[in-house]
Amino acid sequence: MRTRNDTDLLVVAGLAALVLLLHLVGAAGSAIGVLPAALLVLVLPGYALSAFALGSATALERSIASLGVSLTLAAVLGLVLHLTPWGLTGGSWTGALVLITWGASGLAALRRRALRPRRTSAARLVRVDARSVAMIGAAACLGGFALYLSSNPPGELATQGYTLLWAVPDAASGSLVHVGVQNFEPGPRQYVLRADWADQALQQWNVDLDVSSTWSTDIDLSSQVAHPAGDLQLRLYSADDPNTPIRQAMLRSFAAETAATELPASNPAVVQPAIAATPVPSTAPVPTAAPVVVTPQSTPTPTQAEVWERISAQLDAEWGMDTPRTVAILENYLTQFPDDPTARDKLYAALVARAQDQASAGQLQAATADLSQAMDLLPTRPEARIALARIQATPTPTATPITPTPTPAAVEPAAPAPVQPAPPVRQPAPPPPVRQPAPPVRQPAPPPPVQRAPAAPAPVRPAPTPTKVPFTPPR
Amino acid sequence: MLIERKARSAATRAGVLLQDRPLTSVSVEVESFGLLPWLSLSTALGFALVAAAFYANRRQVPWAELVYWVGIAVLALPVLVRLLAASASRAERIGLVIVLAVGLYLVKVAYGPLAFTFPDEFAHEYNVVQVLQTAHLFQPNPIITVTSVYPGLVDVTSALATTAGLSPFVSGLIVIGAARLLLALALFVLVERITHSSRVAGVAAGLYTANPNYLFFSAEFAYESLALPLSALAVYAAIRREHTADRPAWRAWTAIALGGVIAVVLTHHLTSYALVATLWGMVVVTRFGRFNTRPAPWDLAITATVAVAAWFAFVANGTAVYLSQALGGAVLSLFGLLTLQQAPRQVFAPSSAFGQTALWQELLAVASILFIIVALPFGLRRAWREYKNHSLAVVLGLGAALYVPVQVLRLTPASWETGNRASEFLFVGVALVVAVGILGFDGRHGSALRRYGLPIYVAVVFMGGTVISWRPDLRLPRAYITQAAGQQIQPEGVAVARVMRQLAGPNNSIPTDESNAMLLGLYGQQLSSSGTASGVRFMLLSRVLNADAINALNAVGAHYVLVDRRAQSGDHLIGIYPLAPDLAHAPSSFIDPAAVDKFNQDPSIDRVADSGNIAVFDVSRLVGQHANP
Repeated sequence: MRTRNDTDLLVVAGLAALVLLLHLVGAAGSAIGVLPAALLVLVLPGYALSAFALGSATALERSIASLGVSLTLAAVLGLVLHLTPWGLTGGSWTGALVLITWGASGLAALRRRALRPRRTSAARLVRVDARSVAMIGAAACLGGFALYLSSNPPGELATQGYTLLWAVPDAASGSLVHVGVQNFEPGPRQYVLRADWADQALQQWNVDLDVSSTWSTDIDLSSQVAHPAGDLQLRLYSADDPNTPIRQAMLRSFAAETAATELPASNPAVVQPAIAATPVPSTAPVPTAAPVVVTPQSTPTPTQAEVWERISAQLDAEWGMDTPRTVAILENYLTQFPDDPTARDKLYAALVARAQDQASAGQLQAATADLSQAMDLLPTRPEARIALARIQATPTPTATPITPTPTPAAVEPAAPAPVQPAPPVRQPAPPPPVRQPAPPVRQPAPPPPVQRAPAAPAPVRPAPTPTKVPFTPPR
Repeated sequence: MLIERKARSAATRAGVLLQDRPLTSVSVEVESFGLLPWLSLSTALGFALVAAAFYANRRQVPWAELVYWVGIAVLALPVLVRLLAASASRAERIGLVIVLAVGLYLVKVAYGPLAFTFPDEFAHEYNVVQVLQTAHLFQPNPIITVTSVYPGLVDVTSALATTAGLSPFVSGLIVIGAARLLLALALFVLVERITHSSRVAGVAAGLYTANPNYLFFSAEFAYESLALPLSALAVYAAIRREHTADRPAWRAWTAIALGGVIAVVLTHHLTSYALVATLWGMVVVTRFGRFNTRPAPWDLAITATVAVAAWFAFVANGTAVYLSQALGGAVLSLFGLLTLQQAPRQVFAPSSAFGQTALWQELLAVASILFIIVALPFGLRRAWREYKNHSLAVVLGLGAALYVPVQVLRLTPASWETGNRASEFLFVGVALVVAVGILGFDGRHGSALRRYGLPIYVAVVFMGGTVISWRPDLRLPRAYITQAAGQQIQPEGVAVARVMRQLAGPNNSIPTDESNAMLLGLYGQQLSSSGTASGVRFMLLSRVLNADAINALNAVGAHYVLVDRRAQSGDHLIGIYPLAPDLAHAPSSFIDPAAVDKFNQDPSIDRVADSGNIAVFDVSRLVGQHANP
């Protein structure tokens, strides 16, 4: 028979039952279950056990026992659960604690009934008035507000902002490299990420990241097993300064393994973000250039037409936007198929265009070399000869040394010429290989600013990570 | 009834404990909360000031420290002074003890409200994460190895995390908060049981908060923070059972004591040893003392000894190595000091890390210790006279007497930490003895001294203990988690650790500096190693990858190396924080660039991650080339 004095035990058993119920319906972590669950671990078992065993104790002692015995019980019970097949899971904890609480509550009720006729308990009453309650409540509110205030993180320190670049080979596939960039700078950032393999340009990405967002991709090189081994370098540039790498990763003597991973055959060299990004970047990273396919020299598999078809897409993207890279692509192609007239025409035009740019920049020696190479390539065409004559006729102040443009190549002599970041807009297809003036080649320009939502105005952009020293690769 | 009630109220006001009363009649006492509501408000106000100081300090506001000290004083001193008063009721004293304990714990919570930032906390949170992932205990811990074989804290925290669906961090905060509350109340009833005075009990519980480790160290998420309250409960149960004639109640208190003993053994090594010493001390005093009338707790002492020995022998035998490293150095250092072979450590010496301690703080700290030392003889004399028939009082008195010689340990660098760590145990006795001493003093002297002298005494002892509590440059928290564009920014080491876990998988051996080792362990789930033991620190700071450096890499079977060019990363207390703005451009803020570049130069080492200050190198090929056959 239940009496009025068993109410506390019923509440205890009911709270335990609530936790069990929430666990059974899969709502153990819900907001409504937090307080009962915390009580189940920290108070209820101890309360029930002390109600059973410490009937004569004072209220303070029972309070201490409720807390202390619960903590003791959990500390010891964990070891017991560890020895069971279930281990320390939510289910095992809930089940064990609920059973103990129910059992102790039941025993306590029985014991009270047995002892009630003989004993009464001493009582200390505390006079509680409304003002006291209000003041203690106000103190609790003030403390809570202060805690909230303290937990408000400060703005990022001027010395803190950082950008993280990684290039980690896949543990299972030696041809797959996980690459990613995380932006923890004070504001959104635009980056240019370049990949070079054995001193040959491989790929370039324009990466636009909001704060605390991640961009990642996988580079799969399984189709290029014949590529000579070499350092696989990933250089990250700020779009504002595409000549100075701010981060670098380097996989030494990287060689693609034949054990290729299962990747879509349509685009074997690039797999777009495979790693789950943290917050999705505001602008999806779009590779501005398809990968350069370095055709294996020793394998007869790809025919000339196949290779040309593959690089045509790259030329489409680079033509008029990145002349040095265009030259590199064509030179690479001509090392395999030196007699291809179309490629020779294109390379001729690209060399002339690059020479004009170099001459405009005062790099007369480099321009002369390019024009000479162009004349050697197609001696019957007049453009290179005419341009060379103009350069040689230009009075050059001999006292002024030729100052090379600061490029990554200047910082890192062993590295290839830089691939300039291209605007994320595809250019028209290259002109047909007819005899016509070479297309104008523009100096590299930073990518245009990306339009952002009004809610996230572009902040003032300090130099990226002032404490960081650009990485200089070893010679 | 009325007469009885008045008499009991008068006795309560006088601070006299009401003895176990016959339970055959109903007796009702009506007590008042007195000033508790007002003092709750003042404590909350003090905490608000402290929180504001923390908020300001994270934003490099110069006046933050002043506000902090004002806040600490407002938080604690009114409560401590009120506990001295004879007019407070028992209920009010209990309430004040709770308010003080909660308020001071909130200071620690506000110090790191978003993540654990104290070194030991990384190790224990790692254990919790491991248990949540594997559902089993005793997973190897790379941060502090020995913590994994003392699973008491992990048990309770994982129980809360799994049943309530809370994070390990929030669960840990709640568990330690509950433990702190238990400690405060257990100390109160312990002293009250000995002295039969709620006034002495309140003052002792209040004075215990002046223990230099109370504010931060004992409040961190670590096994000792749980073990000490459990041991207080066990000791209280041990003495409480002797004050009952009820056989079932005796059995119940015995069961609580035994459970507490087992839980302490499962939770923390040093606390379990201290508990064994306390119980045997009580046995010895009871058995051989001339004034004791109660039975000795043989059963508990033997049980505790067997449990400690068994746990040590079969589960936690690595504890010997762990403790010998700390205690062995302390003993040797102390011997060197006593034989004049070693110069004493300069207390409050200016440090390159945290500069010069303010003069008023130095004076306060020294005065605090001196005040305690001065009060101890009076307290010991009075305690001996009044409580010598209580075995626990005698044991605690011995502990208080040890407090003075233990301070000598603070005078050598190797033993400083041992002396500091001893204080939270010895201060239980110090609090009792000093409370007995100063309240006895109060009764024999004039009202002016009572009105002003005792409050000043308590204020100096508490504020001085708070000065000693934590390193000056870390007394107020630094910015740890920050925000930019509405997003939380984790420290650089955390981001790198998470990327390593995601891409390289867990459990790679990664030697690194002390602070990144903690971050790699907890957030990266890596087997990080650091320090001088395996030559890791030498390897990191070496300008070249010579044979010794390669041997160090081989010794730990390194797969990766994480190098942080910030010099502070070698300090496990401050290395986790972003570089302080005022130090950012100091040449000494960074390690020798050649120490980093040596990894760049080696053709067999890959540089797989780069965050500016931190670079991660894959050294598996290098280690493979030099692996022992």
